[in-house]
Amino acid sequence: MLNARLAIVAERKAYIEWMEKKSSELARATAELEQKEQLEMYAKALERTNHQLEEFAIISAHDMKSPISTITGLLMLMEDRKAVKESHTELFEMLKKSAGQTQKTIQALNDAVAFKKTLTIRREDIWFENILQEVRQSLAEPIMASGAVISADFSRCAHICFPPIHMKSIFQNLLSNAIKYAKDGESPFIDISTFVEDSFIVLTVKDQGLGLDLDLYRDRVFRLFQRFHTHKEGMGLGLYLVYSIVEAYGGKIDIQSEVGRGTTFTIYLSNADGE
Amino acid sequence: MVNKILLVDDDDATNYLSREILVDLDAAQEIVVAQDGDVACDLIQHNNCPDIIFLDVRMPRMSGFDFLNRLDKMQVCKKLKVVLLTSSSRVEDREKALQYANVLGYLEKPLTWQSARKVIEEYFQ
Repeated sequence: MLNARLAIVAERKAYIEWMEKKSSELARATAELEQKEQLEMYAKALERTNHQLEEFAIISAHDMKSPISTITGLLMLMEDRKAVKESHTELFEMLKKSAGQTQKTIQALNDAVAFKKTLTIRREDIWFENILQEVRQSLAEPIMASGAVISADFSRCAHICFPPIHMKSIFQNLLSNAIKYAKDGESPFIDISTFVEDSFIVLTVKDQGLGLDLDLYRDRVFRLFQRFHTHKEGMGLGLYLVYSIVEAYGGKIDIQSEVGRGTTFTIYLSNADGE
Repeated sequence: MVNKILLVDDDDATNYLSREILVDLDAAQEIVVAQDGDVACDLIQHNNCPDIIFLDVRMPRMSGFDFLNRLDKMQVCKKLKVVLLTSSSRVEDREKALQYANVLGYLEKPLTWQSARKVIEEYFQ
């Protein structure tokens, strides 16, 4: 009798321990679920805020275009009417220059905003050599003017599955920068190559131009409107666009640079539907 | 030279600039200004129909496209052509504008002597 009762007590004790264990597991699972729900809530709130900021950028960029274009037009009219006294010519020129600069900045901002909307274009099988030829044509004038030499080796990886318009933009912006920021008095020499590394197709673009001080600028290199050589004309949009494209398609970009020695961009691109 | 040009823009400065340029070009015998689509519609209905309207796309109460839709429903003279003026470089806006039968051109602001001359020449072709 006593043994039977002891057995029942032991069984109940085991049952209680099992219940307590299950209860802890349930409490943990509930906490995890609540945390997950909270994270989802934060993610949605963040997405809403991002969307609102994007809308704000779109509206601001657009709303600023109209008055600045009117200012530019009125300045043009003043000049035509010879409405500026000779003693105020310098002042007027500075006013024109500021208005022109503002207009370019707003246009660049509009371009950056518009560009973001194009990041869902379909990938296609494209050949690097073809893209390079197209970009050579569009940059024909600066290439000729600078005497730029562009050397390319696509033998290790000739093609990629990627949106052609965005690949062209990557080439265009990097080559344009390499030509623009060549050392004064020297013809730019640009070396392009591709190869496969792990699951990435790697594109490198190397120049021997002015280079930049990455100790100072590494954190800002790919941000919008960042300029590092103010004696050369530019809006600080090119690297931002390249970075945005690479990131949007699951890749990454690395920069190595030395002042006076040049810069190498190494871009890791995912090849979604290709080899 | 056309008989009448109507400028429709909510911004005084834009109307002023456009008017000065068109006067320079001797573009019209009469240049009239309206600051919104409603006033423009009144002017068209109760006065001589203009030959060309220079129309702002973005206006607060009635957009340029709303105005074009209203114009479609009005009995307007066939000679009337519209030139849209915009700060927007969106391709989809341009394509939308050129679908209207009476749209002659879609120009970026500010209006210049060159762009105004070109559009007046196109009107006469």
